[in-house]
Amino acid sequence: MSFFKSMNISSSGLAAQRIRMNILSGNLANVNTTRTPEGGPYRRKDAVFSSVPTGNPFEDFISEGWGTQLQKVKVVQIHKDGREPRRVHNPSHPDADRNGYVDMPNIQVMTEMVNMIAATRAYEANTTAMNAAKQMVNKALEIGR
Amino acid sequence: MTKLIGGMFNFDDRLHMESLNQRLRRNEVITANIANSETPGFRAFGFDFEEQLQALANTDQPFPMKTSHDKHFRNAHTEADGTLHPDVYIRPTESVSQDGNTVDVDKEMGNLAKNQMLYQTTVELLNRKIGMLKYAITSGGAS
Repeated sequence: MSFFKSMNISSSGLAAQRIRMNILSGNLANVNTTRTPEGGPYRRKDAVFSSVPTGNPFEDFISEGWGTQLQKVKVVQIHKDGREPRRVHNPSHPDADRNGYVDMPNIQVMTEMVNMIAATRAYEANTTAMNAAKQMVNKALEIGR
Repeated sequence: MTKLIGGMFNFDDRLHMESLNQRLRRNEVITANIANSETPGFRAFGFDFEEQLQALANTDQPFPMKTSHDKHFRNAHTEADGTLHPDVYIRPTESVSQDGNTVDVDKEMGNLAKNQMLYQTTVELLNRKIGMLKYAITSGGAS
């Protein structure tokens, strides 16, 4: 049904933004982490979004390709930032090298905060779109009342 | 009397229903744009049906018939099943962000609200009309 397609698209957006928010929170939490299971300091992570067609072959056939034109959003990859770690002079740190430098994660708190605000706003926009679809369904049920 | 019955479900209703259908589709397109507002390289889609609906309203053949063959005459603006099928198109935009995304969230939110209100208005119009019919059937001729 058409109404639920709108809601499916909105919920794909909500899910994607939530995943992004979780990853950004992880970045902020690990801003001082110098040890990871794979060795070395924590690497900044980010979600990579991609638009994917909604619908399935059957639906597309009866709606003449409508579903392939509508695109929902999906997190296709968790990208690991490959930039060099930030080197901080701190000889008392247990992970310091011979010269007294420690490899710290290359995370800018400001960037993460800005991205978090963007994710929040996008999440809210998707919620509004979801509510709009919901109100349209409810209104349609009133026809002939 | 025949005029009343004949006018019960007339051309206006067909336009209303077509309008509801197309507004629902537009809602899907706007929703997809909003969901992809952070997708790199996503081009915002547009969906216009007003012109086609207007053309349908102005036509002298108000009830287009379903056709089953390419050579059949049909209304210029409708498909074989007698309904409108406007196309989704990639909207040319002036604002392109750094990642190539052309979705303007503010514009989309505005369009979303507008579309929703017009949908509710159309439903309300249909309801008023059905209410009048109900009144005529149940209490119009009561002693």
